Amino acid sequence: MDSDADLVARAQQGDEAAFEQLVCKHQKYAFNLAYRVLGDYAEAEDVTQEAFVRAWRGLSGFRGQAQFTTWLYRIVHNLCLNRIPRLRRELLRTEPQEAVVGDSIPSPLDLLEAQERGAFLHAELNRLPAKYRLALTLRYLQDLSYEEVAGVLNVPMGTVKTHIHRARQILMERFRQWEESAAGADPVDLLPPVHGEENNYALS
Amino acid sequence: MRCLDVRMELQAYVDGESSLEQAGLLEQHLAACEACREELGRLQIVAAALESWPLVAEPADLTARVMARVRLCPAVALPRFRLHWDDLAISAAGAMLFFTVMLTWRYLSTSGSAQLYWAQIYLWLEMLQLKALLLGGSGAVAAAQWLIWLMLAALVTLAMGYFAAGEQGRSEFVSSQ
Repeated sequence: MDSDADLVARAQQGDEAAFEQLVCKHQKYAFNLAYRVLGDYAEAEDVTQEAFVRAWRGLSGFRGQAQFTTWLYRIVHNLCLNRIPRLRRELLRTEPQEAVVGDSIPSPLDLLEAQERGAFLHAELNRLPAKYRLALTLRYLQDLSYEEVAGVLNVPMGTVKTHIHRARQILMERFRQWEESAAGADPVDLLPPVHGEENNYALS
Repeated sequence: MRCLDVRMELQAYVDGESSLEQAGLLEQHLAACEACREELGRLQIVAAALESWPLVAEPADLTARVMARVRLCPAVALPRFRLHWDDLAISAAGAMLFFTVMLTWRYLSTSGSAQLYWAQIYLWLEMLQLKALLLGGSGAVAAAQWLIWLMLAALVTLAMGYFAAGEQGRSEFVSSQ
């Protein structure tokens, strides 16, 4: 398969097929970055389309000093900022803020279908504030270094480290709470009563 | 190590960023402390969850939609030969170096008022060369930097001429105008 650098060079000469290969290769990550930040499937699709169109139109200004993916993520990030204007301010704030958006922690009963801890943590990841989801996604989506994440977000590297550290602390805390509430719940209480057997527990 | 110190270091340990010595100390503590082992277990579970955060499937026709929009946009083809400010700056620096050597030789072989003339040209070229070497860039910002740099060079040259000419030179200059 052609490298990104080759495809970019060909696309810069107006080769649409080369650009189409770039779209195919990177659309999954670009889409997921937008989706994790915006939390809306249709909006994420709009942003991804717009990001690629802007990349196509701006290719003449891309000189390969950064990787194509880093450049593309920066475009996606900027488009997300347009949709969530407060995110720009939030990204620069490093003081603690409320841990999660939405309701209180789901009870173990709600999670019976998904009993695995991984499922719980993935649900919690999606409930983190947008700035933390953004930093975590860039860090873990394609193993971007802290420096590269800072470059994409246009914030100091220390800020990125702080966001990622706080996000992990929040997840740890939620996980600890979940473990405690799961341990405190009586397994019998979690089972639906069986008709005619309600009194059998008292008899046995 | 105290539990509090261990908790501070555990994340680096999970990320593989602890030194060998630090990792050894942590492992000693972990072997004896169940609470810290539990904390480590949680951290590892969170790390694994981050690594395995599932991707959502993008719309099946996303590529087609993107390319339909791309085809409506003006082509971005570039000329095969592209000139950029930083390429120009590097070339200019090479040329300046050559002329500087030539002019230094001429300067040493002249005398009297011609010295001042050559010294001024020499200074100009040195400044241009420094600009090209130190502040090579591209686009409008680099162009603006060049402009400011040239103005600065002109001012320095004027000042140099003013002081080097002396009182007599300056009055001769004024009367010649």
